[in-house]
Amino acid sequence: MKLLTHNEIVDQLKDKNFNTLFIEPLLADDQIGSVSIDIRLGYDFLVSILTRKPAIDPCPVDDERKRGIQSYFQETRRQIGDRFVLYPNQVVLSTSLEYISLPDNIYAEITTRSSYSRLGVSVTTTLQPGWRGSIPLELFNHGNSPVEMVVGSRICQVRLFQIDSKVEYVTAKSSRKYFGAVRPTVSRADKDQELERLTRISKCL
Amino acid sequence: MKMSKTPSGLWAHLSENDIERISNDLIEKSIRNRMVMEGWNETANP
Repeated sequence: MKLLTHNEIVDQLKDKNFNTLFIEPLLADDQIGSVSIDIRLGYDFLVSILTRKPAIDPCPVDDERKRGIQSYFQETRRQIGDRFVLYPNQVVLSTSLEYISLPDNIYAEITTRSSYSRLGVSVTTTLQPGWRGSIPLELFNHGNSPVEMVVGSRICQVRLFQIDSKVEYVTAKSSRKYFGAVRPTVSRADKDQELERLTRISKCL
Repeated sequence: MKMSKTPSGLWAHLSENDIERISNDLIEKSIRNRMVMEGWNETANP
């Protein structure tokens, strides 16, 4: 496994073959650092809200109690340069401004940029080789004060790791729940086929 | 838009509904990307 450096990232981006790194829009050349790429906050948000139901249940036993996970989030859109306030202890789903396509032998790790970590804002995620879409950003404010985020600002960075073998991202067995998503997507934990089986086991034991 | 009835490659294992949804989102995203790039270039000089 090898961490891609600046020149290797640039070479990947210049290569127009299908199975190479693609990022759009890359607004400034200096977004590409020595071993990482700065990623910008996108314009779509799903904000967690409180409802009358006491808890999100990804696998309700009684169908009448079933309520989509989507109903616990409210969608909002901003323009580039607008502000978005991230309140303490609030989960907000967003995406990167950039659309990214990874080759089948490169995976990506996304971490918060230091300037935003120091404000209490946390983002951590991993993208598997072959990923297509805008990077999902699950924003959380660990601090005590609300933080105004500017849409389009560089809030996190991606590091790219080249692996020796190639990975098939979408297969017949694993069609991928978030493939190709360019807007924030709520958890699809309720689509986990093992949940129903686990519920049955709990009744047997 | 007319779609092939036999999707291939990465699309081969996705449902028709998912392919349609993803295609529509990608078209909108590419238009917005173009708008963002134009706005960025127009505001290069204060």
